[in-house]
Amino acid sequence: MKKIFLILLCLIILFPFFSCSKDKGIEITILHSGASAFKGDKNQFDFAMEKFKLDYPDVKVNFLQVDLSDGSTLTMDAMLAAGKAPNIYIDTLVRASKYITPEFALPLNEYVRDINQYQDLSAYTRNGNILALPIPGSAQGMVVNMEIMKEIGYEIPPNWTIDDFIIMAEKVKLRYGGTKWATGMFAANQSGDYLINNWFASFGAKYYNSGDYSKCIIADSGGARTYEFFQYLSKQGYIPPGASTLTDDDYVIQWAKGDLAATAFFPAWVEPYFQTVIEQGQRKERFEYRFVPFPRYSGVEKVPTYYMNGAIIVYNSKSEEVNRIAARFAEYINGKEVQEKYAEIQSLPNRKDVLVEIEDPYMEQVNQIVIDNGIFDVGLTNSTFALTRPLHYPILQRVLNLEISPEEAINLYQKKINEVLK
Amino acid sequence: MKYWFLFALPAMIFFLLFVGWPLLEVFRLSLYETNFITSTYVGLKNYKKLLIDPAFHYALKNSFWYCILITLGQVGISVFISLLCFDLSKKWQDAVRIILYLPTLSAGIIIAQSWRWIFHYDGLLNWILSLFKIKPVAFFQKSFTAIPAISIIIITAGIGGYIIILLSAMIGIDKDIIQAAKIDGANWFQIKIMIILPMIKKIIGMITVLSMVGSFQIFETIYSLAPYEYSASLTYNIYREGFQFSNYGLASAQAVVLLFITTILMLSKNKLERSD
Repeated sequence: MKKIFLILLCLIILFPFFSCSKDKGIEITILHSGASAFKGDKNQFDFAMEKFKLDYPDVKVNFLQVDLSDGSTLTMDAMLAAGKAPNIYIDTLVRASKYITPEFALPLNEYVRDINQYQDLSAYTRNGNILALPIPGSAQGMVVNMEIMKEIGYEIPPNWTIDDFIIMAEKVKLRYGGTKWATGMFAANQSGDYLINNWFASFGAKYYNSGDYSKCIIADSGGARTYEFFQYLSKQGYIPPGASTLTDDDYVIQWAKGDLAATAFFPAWVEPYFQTVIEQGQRKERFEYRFVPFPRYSGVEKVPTYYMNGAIIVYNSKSEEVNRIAARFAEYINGKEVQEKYAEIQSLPNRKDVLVEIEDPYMEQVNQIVIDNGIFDVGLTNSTFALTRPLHYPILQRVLNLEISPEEAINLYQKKINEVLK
Repeated sequence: MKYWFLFALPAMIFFLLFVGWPLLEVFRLSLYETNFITSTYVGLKNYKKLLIDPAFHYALKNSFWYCILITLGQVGISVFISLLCFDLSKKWQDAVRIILYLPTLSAGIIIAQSWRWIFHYDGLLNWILSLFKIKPVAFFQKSFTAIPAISIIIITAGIGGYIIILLSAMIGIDKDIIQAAKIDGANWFQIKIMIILPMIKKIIGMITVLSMVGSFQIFETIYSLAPYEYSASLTYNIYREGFQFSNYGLASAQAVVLLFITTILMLSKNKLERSD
């Protein structure tokens, strides 16, 4: 009896080591940061799957979503650490650029059949190899709450300046006494970079000199003035209290609730967040708004704006067959039909075969900002961007908490970025 | 007896696979610079970096503050409540145990979210302060207020378990000793301080060490309420260094340091258990 028991015990222990699943065939895994909210029932994955299944009916496609809770590359890195790199990674460039490297990405030149249909791919090209496909994106602008402007009796002048902004901020403060604010700010996580960074452009500061991503010059080009301005906003109560402890979730809701007079926003965000606050009962209806450029500091002629888009990266696996299959899915996920759908939701297509007339007035306003002022170069397509991005918010926290001088803060920021770039 | 290893085998396999191997892997990673795509062996460079890394020093200092506040709070309050409960009937003791143990069963992230409503700028605590004409406080905006606030959350969430341990130890005390003290004229306070406390001092020592070890491992409360350098614990800084800054080697080196600290604490607990 004792021996039988021991044999059974051994079998139980050893059983897992001999267990195996039956051959599942080829599977590809797609890690993405969320399906786009296209008009109609289908998202980009549905469009791609329809075509893909005609080519590869037996290939199973698994979808995984990125954990966006702190804006980091946590999910992707965890998968890499586990030795389970996804076959396709789709995300905004703030994270995805880290993986546009020859060590990770499959050169798509030979795999994607309609690669010539894309507009400029130089930002995604390393040593002559195209390592990613760009997803349509959008520029941001400073969105002005016209309801607040009406109530404070202020009209934003064309080509407005920081002095104009301060006048507006003071009027907001006087009118609402700390229940609504001139602009939004948050520093509890790294997600605010695209919003907050644009203020550097307002003060004429630059991250990089003419595309030289080997050295950051944000302090040398006068970035301290921006931090000085932030501290002034904080001291005067022009931004929400405890801004250093707020997150992007707080920020977007503050805007949609109508608590921020003029702040950075993407046109594509407006409708979803209006819907959120209305569904939550925080607002009854939408308010009037319009997009204007960021205000400029004296001596600054133009304030370039921030442009953000995504990328599709195919992992260069050891299997040529898997690479080919994954590349085909990548091709379909960004095809003509899909990009036309992107255009409908106010994202700018980047395929030559997609010609869309912009009818949306807000998208027109933002496009005009880009045409008049250009794009603010933060090195978004550089593979070090995801590494330099999280360096800002801990410093910004100290700036907003008035714990560090603007000069000290900006020098520290530049030093930290340059340490990474080295 | 000769088959003892077979009975230990499942636990040993489990331990080696899920504890032993990851420990070795963390130590190995601490000697590399890696983004999990490419890796470079750098020897002890990551450990040298820790010596001059202000964020690590901040986190280490904060961790010791958390350790002091949480340990004092958890041990002090749980001993105090246990002493109060000792004289209650079993029914009431059970009720106290259940009520105070409930937060321990909840997920840390849920507890943190509940406390957010209390410590929020527009939250309950600031509303109470406003009744006394005190200006609202952004509790998580400064190290000075964030660390005590986080400590309070951890203390309240963790004392239930310690109260159960302490009450069990107190119930185990021979009733004749307490009866004899009463006959000798000892009052309620003297019985608690002079009789009961010395008799459970070994248990108090044990929960002190457990609380210290636990306080070095706090993460989710900081992650969801105060994810800042000035309030970061060592565990949160490890997460930040690894998953936010992609310095996995440096994060692993910090994990090894944390392992070293907790190992010392656990060894002292074992020593305490063995001592008379």
